[in-house]
Amino acid sequence: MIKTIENGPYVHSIGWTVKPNFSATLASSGNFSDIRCPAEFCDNGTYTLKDQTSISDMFTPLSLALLRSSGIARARSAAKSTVFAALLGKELLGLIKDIPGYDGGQVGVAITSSAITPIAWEFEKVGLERGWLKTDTMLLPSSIPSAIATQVSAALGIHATAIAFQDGAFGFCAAFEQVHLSFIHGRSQYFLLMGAEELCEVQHRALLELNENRPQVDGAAGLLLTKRPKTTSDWQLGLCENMSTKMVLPSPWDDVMPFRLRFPSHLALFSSLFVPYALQQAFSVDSDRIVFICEMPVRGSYVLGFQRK
Amino acid sequence: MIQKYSIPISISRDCAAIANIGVSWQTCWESLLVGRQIFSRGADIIPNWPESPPLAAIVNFPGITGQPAFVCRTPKLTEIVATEIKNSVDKLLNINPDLRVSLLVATSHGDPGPLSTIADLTFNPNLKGEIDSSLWEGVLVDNLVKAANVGLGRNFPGITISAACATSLVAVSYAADRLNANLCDVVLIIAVDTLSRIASVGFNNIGAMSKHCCKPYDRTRDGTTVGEGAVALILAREGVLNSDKIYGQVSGSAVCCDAAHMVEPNPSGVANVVKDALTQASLSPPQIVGIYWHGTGTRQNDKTEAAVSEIIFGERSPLSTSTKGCLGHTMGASGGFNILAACASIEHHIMPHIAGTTEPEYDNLNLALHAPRAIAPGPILITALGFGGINAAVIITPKEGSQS
Repeated sequence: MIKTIENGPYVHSIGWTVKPNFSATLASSGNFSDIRCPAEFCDNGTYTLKDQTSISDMFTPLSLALLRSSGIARARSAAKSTVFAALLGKELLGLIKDIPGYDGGQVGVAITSSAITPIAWEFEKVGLERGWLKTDTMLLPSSIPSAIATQVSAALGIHATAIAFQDGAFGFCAAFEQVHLSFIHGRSQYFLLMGAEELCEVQHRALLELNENRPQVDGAAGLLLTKRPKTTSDWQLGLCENMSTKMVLPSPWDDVMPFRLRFPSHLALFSSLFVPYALQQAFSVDSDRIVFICEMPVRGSYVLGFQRK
Repeated sequence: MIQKYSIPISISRDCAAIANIGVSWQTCWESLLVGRQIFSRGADIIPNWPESPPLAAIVNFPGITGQPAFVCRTPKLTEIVATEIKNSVDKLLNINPDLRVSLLVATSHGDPGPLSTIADLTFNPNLKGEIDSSLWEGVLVDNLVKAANVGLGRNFPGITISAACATSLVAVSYAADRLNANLCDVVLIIAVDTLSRIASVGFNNIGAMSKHCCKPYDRTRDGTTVGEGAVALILAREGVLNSDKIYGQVSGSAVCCDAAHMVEPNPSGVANVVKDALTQASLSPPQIVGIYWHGTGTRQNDKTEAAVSEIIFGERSPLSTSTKGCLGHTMGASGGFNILAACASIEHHIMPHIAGTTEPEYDNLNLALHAPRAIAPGPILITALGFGGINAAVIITPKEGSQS
């Protein structure tokens, strides 16, 4: 039996970056259906993008103005995903920054991304072609998975914690639990939970070689979660479990028709953004309880449940 | 306000560790006590490794002859350390098949093998070969949970997290919180990092690597020694482990990202996590009997920790050490070794000395030098500092009911 979560975090807002300038579009509790979701989801869990980005667009470097507006220090040495996450995070944080008593030390950030690959690829390419002494030392701190979270933390002045989750969509789902634990142990009051994706040459080639034609999207998408509700109708996390086959949903969650997100393979790239996209759709239904099941071949299923009282 | 743990969070004596100085925790611990240093030239371990100062590389891998191929070094090490802990996990599940076990893989930079190998085959004219599908897959997915489950012969639900060089302690904090919240009964942490070219070259290029071997807190220190290693830790809720299997208990933990600098640590940020961990453990600074600092041997790290000690402990710290003189800097795995060392210190009332350090620079640090030092039984503090300003602190205490 899956264990229910008591005193789970509340969903304050949800949002994502929108091309061409990666501006953030946001929706807050009670108005989740007000924004246009970039993806469409079918009943069988498959999904498509409404506007497929051209691959050449995804390889285009970001403008200096955009890099600067993100607030990321030395943004030219950072992953593009870091810039996307900072742009989205800044807008999400803007929704609570004016609350009396707001303290950046009480805000955490968790990010799921595969953005180190482009940085590491660039480093290796220069090292092998021109010599290891010619590599850009500024790429080193951006080459580890947590860099995206810590650089966003620095740009936004939020300090409770900064943690990176691998495993794409599954990492995104697992991060909900981390937020819950942080809140109930008094480690933070607010949390940014974001996925950020970009495409680089080697990953693009890998997708082609593996005949993976999954929807590809660059940008960031995520949620602002709070320890306390903003309104009485805020969605609250009630289930968060990496399911094994013998697990079943507890009552009354077992009566809810689940919203399924099914990935074509276990590959993590380009999966994290679809969790918040799908959650926005799920939150828009006229119900007081939703069950969201994310499925990946080989990896199994991750279930999230939300309720409002 | 940080909430105290409502139940004891136990660390099992059954554990596994693989590093340059040993292929089990027992051999690693014995090596720490004698200050054993085994450092290698990168190219002698991994073909075509870029020239760099000595590395704390794993020379012997349990169960295999020679070195694993670089392309699968991280998953192989993950699988091996998981295999080493398999019997202990099986025993727990034989006693109680209904235990809720989850897996947490902690790594600062994941698996660099596939990407570096594809880069070799793409850009190195002396290397030719076909890039097969497993290599391509390796740049699209992290397979370390899968590798751990292969070693365990299980299919535990698991997730991989990263928090730079503080990853292990962040994982311990996360696991302890999970157990305290009754979301599972057992968390198996596999902390693993292997040599990566980007870390080895990058650290060298920024002047953070020692030319010989790292000498934490020494006046003459000239950097850290990049290393690799893996640790498997079992953390459990009260009642899961027999009393004689409890190595130590997590009584407090804290994490923050001060984000003050991309690579340099910040004293007030580190001091804050120490204060928070003490608060959660309901301890005051004088009650700490020993400290395993991050102690990398870089000028900035050690200077920061001396400043932190002054903030928290005043003129003189509790007995302090660093394991990196022997282990080198095993990156995301380093905190895992220090957790086990703290448990061993509690059990044996002894702290290993800092190998290589002879001329301490900071008067306020009461360092264990030249030979292991006896300590009173009691709480031990462990700290870790990561790139980007991630700081973590964990306090390990003797198991409840034991003399302290």
